[in-house]
Amino acid sequence: MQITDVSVILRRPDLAVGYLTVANPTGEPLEMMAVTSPDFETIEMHETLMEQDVMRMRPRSSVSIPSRGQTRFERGGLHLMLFRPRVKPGDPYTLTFEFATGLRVEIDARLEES
Amino acid sequence: MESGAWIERGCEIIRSMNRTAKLVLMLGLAALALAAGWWFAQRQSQPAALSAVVLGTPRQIPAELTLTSHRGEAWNTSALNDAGLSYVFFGFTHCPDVCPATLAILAEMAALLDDPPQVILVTVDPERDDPDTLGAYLAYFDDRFLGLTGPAEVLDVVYKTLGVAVYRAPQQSQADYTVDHSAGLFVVDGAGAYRALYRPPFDASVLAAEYPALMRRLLEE
Repeated sequence: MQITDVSVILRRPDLAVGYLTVANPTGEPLEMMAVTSPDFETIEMHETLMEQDVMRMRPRSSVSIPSRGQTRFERGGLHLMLFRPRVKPGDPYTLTFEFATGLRVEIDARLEES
Repeated sequence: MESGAWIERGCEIIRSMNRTAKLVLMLGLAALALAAGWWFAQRQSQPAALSAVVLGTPRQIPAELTLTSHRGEAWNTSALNDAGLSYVFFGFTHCPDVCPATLAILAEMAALLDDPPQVILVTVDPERDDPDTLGAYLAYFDDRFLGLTGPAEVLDVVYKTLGVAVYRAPQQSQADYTVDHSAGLFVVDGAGAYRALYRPPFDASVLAAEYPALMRRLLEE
């Protein structure tokens, strides 16, 4: 399990957006169930949907990563919503990604500004 | 073989042709020249293609509407009078993904132009987007951008005039609710008339490149 291109950007004092790529080198599809962090009050997975020029955003309870494939959280698609950060732009934070198999992956990065 | 030799060879072939073949060749060349001339003339007379959809009938935003700018000042459409074209889009500050991406594209467009259009973000979430919130959100992008909020019933008139769909979608989320809305970029002239529309996705260099032509076209009409 590889998590790369992590970028968490502060959009408002109380809300940041997160983009990343999750690669699954195993022969089985994996379900990502949650993202947690001591550095944000709450983190949710969301998806932006564009239907006939109307922008919608919906929470996702899980996101699957295909076997020997990858899932990208990127602009206009899947993204993390990170509420009420306890860190400032430039400060480090930790994210823990939790999978249905019980696997946990931790990454560190620094909070970015818009 | 040198070009001179090619020409000699060509002449030889033509000399060897009978009268009918020569006539066919001449007519063919003449037709080709005409077609090229016609194509070139057409190309010259056509206006540059725009990816914006220009409205056959402009739609007027009622002049008496009063909204509040992100600086906390009263704003109405008469403020557009000297502004040339305004590029208006709809969004809200609890939208962390698409709305900032659009603002970033518009900031890039503005940076590419000496005299860019006025960029206006009209909130679809007046309950949470007060002037200060809008101001802080816009400050990340370009301090020339204008944010507008106001009473829901006044904003509704703006949405309806521009044909913007806005509906609040409740969700099981920390965000409490999100606001589904049209993601178009609406071109409004200095008289407050909605004249043209860009549909998503947007491209900063296309928007910048088309701006002078769009302005000419809308001012000529």
